[in-house]
Amino acid sequence: MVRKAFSRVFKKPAYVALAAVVGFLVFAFAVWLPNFRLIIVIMNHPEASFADKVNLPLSLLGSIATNFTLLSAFYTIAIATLFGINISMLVYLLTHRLRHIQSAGIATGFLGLASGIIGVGCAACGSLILTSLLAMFGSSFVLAFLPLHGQEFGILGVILLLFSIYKIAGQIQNPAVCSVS
Amino acid sequence: MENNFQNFQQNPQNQGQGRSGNAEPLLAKYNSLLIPVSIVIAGAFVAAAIYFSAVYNANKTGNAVANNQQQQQQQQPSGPTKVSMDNDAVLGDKNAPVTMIEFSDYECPFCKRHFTDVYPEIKKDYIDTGKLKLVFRDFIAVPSHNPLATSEAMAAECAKDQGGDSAYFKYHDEIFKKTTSNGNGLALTQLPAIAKGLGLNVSVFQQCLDSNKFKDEVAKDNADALAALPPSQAGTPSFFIGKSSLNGTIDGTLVVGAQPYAAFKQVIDITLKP
Repeated sequence: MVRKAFSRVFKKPAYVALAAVVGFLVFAFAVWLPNFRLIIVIMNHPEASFADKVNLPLSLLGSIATNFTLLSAFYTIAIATLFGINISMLVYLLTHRLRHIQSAGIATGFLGLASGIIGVGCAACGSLILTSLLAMFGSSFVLAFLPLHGQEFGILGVILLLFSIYKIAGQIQNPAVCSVS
Repeated sequence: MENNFQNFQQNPQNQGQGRSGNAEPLLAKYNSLLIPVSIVIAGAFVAAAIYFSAVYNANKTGNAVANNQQQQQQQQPSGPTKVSMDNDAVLGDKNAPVTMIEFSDYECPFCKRHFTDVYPEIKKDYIDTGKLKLVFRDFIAVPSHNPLATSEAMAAECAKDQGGDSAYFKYHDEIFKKTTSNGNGLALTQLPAIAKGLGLNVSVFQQCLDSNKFKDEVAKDNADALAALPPSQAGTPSFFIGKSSLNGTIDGTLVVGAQPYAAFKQVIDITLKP
């Protein structure tokens, strides 16, 4: 079912391009997140040339190899890829105006991305957003008890996105119809 | 039941709907709300986390609070940050035009990765050529790295106490080469052994370590790091790169994390421009 849905959606290059663009944007967000301030400083720096302003964000993309553990690099790339696929399939579903769209699968996709965002961050030094979230609720000690110190949310994000793709694929292949009574 | 029967008699076109006829519009309405509600919840989560993290960190007790508020009055939201070299160890030409202040933790695996993968290139291209001087300051961001991380930081200071900045950085190199990181990367007995290997006086070194002579120095480095780093980015390794000054305080551009050499090269080259 998923394979058939994939072949329906991604036989059109536009949907492949959309998945690639969205996936890249999510990946870039995750990798650039620790250094957003640096990027802004360089973009506004009077001594920085145009080449500098282009090269710095590109060079920071290489931090997937230096500033991430193997696990966090895996789920960061997986979440970006799966979310891109998710969005493309969702756009296909909406543009073909399939009726009785069931929201569960779509909502799961966004929850998967949210979970992935929470899991993003230096594994050794604490998930950036998770520590902030837990601190908000006075529960930052929870991180110490999580075996992977917050990276569980990244894994959860991957699972939710896979489930969302499965649900959306089901709706693409088997649109709801009114059963004959 | 009587009402349903009467309803059926009065409205025969509704036959077959029964109870499910009333439930389906409700389900459909609930279903249609799932997408926008999920998006709003996810967005609110992330936005609230980023906003309240600043509030939480501003409520931390101790000097870090006062320093943080004072520092945030001085620094622009997305501009350079005033950071001091303090009296910490310096590697390279003291008259180098650019200073890089590194806040680091000897037990942080990403600090070790920076030491292994990036630091050698920075040293070869910028420190050894007199363009950049490196100042190493301690910041132990992860509580589980203690007490070993603090012991290692104090041990390096004890090495500096005997042999100056060069002894400090030889000791610093040995710790990063030997530790396996994450708070239990080195046995405490290895600290004096490293000192012995570097030709330091082991009994003087051990006395320095046992007396916690440099405990306050390490604590001050930690406090300065918390004051300088934005609350949402307080981690290691963190680097402030800026033009050198006479009083040792730089307007530093912040680079967070074990970034590839190309990123450091970009920032250092821009800072080197007259």
